Amino acid sequence: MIGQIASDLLTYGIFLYAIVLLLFYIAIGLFSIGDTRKYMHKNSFTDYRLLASSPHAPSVSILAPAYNEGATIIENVRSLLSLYYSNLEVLIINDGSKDDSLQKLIDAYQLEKIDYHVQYKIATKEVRGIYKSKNPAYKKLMVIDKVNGGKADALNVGINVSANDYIVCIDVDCILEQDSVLKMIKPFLEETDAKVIASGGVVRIANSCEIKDGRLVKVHLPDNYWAKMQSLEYIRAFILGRMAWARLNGLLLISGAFGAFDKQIAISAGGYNHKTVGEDMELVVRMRRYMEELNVPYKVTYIPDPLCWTEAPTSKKILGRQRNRWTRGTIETLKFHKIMFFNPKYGLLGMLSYPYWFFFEMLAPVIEFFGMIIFLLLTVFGLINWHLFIALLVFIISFGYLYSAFAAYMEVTTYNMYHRRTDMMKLLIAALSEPFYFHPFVVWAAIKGYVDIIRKKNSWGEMTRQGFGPTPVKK
Amino acid sequence: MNSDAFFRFISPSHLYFGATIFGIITVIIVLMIYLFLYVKKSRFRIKALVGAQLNEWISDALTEDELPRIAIPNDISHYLKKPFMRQFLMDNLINIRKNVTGDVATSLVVLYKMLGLKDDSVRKLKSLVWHKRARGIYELYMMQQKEELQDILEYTNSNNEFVRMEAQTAIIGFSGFNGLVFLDQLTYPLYEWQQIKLLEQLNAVNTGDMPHLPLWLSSANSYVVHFALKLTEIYQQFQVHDDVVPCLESKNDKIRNQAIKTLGSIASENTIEIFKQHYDKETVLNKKAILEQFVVNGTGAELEFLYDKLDEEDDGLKLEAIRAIASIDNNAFSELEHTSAGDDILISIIKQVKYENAV
Repeated sequence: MIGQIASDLLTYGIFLYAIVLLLFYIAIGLFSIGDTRKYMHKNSFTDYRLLASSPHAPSVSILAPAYNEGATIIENVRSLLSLYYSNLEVLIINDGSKDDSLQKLIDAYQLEKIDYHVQYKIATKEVRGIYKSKNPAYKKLMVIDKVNGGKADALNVGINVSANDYIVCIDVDCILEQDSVLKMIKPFLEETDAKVIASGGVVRIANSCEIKDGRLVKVHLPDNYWAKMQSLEYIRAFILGRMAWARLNGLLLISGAFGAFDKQIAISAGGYNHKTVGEDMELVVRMRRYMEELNVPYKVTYIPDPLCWTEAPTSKKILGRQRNRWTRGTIETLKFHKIMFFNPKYGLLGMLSYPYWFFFEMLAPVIEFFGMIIFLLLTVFGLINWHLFIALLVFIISFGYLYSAFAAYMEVTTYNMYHRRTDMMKLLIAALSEPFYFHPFVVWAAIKGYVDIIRKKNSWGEMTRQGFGPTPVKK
Repeated sequence: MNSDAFFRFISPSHLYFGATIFGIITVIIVLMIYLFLYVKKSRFRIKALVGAQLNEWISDALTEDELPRIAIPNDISHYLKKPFMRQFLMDNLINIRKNVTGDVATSLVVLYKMLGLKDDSVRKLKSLVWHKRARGIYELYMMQQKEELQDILEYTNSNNEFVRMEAQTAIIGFSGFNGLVFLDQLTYPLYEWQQIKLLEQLNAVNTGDMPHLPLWLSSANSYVVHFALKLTEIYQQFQVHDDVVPCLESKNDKIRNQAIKTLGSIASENTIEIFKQHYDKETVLNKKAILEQFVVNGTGAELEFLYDKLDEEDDGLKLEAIRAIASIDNNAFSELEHTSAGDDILISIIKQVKYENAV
């Protein structure tokens, strides 16, 4: 009797889970279309140059934490200083680097230590010194040297020191489009009764792209299999997923590589949490929770322009570490804010966004992993209905292909970053292998994340990057 | 649903049927991707082929005295039957228009009409699709088609934000400061983005009178009030000082913040006193904005008030107060340095202000 109940619960439970997940994917796909199209039309005659030079443009601070980035820091800062936006300050936060990053910056940008009062509105590790350039050409630049405390702590120092109304938090080794700040700030200037508290932008994969002087010159699909699969993943996540959630005003995650925030709200919410490795998601969730608890209407916006390019992991080892960290970050964030789970007091955030993340982002790898174990056990005991199993497998895989093809279609008909037809062909062919190779690996890395969190391991995991060195030769 | 019914429902035949449907849709999507890429590439090739020729012809045409006599070359007119090429030509003319003035700009407008592109723009203006209508307004405004002013004016209070913004931009483009009359009737939001855009546009024309400014400052539309405050600040409209003061009582933080800045820029004898009385009611951000006004408008009489602010909890307020003291009276600033010995925070802030004043 109990066995029967357990079996029914498992059968119908998993079935219901799969159906709801598929329905979510369909809804996300359909929901993203309208907003993306609207944004494209709107932008077709928007003149961003107006804002770039206007004295009435809001003040913006770019916060770029750097730890042992000596090899590329000079180029990265040069790239940031060349962004189109006049009312801008660029804050580089040297998070106690053990290499010569600071000295390189001092030499290259003629920096001098200045008297600057830091108010620790958000508690952080100590600031050792603040540097500004003697050369007026670099007047936008400020370098903060602080005791090592991790990325979240470095960003909090940046928030404390920033003199401006809006902050744009980035990874220092990312490549930003020249007009990225202009485009990211615009949603804040279109605020209505609902306060815009944060805005996210699309992050794309820069592997195999042609980079010159810190700028992206030509886009190519990555040659490396793992990076190529991540390109597909990013297209699906950014063009479909986040766009749809933003339309619902239910977005919980803005990538740490590139996100803009209202500084006052970020401070009031307490800044970045250094007790999690998913500090980017945690800040957005906390800011949203803060606004919900104040009962003030707000919005988290998102723009589909590809504005930020990052180097994706190219080996299983590094990719595994990254996904392990993402899983831990998600679990930690959802744990910190568990009060919102199906709590109507938090509106859509509590009733839809949080449960979606809980069931379909956090629990998905566990369900898949245990599904695989049960499948193996049933196989061993000869209890599998192979006829049904193969039909189900074909059904799910064909849905996955459909979803990927739709994401590729949206990419092509909107920003079409991969101009060569062969690139699109390679992407679609690579997608065929996803259910058999890439996806199981990602699930395995997430399971390792669960194991690490049980073991209370909270390190970031070393993220070795090759850097945007010599441009690959394309034929 | 019992288990038999359930397994009948997800029977292999049903699942294979579903998978087949997904497969067919996938194939259709992939075909659509390649069709889209093919069309896009073909258009790109045509534009590259004709573009140079077209630009050369436009350059020649613009240098001619009698534009209507210029014949459109056959191969170009052939391509101009295609809507995407007409849009391409339109975009090219707009790009040129952005960078030219005087006779060349006038010739460009003649060319625009001669090529029948105005009819396209008017058709778009009358379209029911919002983005086409907005584009139509944009094109007519860029090509200075003032005859369409009345039609466009209707859209300045459109419920579609994009149509509305383009119409407002067009009206200011056609009529300068007189175009601001649309603010009288505006019931929808005037986003900050749009405000910046309009201010940049107004910056390019001669300053004009704004007789309706008091009306806008007391508008029921908070966006209109916010924009009117900015206009008052930028164009130094001293005569509406007393109309601005009630804005300090607005429930909207942003409006109060802008009112503080505006009053600071059109300050009269009693403005600082108004600020002092208002200070305690404000948010930290707006208190900071008030103290910033003391840097420019403060006198020795305000020193006591500013010294009081050194006890504020927020260091940002202390910083602004010290900046104001340093700006009003250098001796008082030096004195403060001595009296603050032992207060690490004040000393740190004083050092920063000294650095700022030195550079």
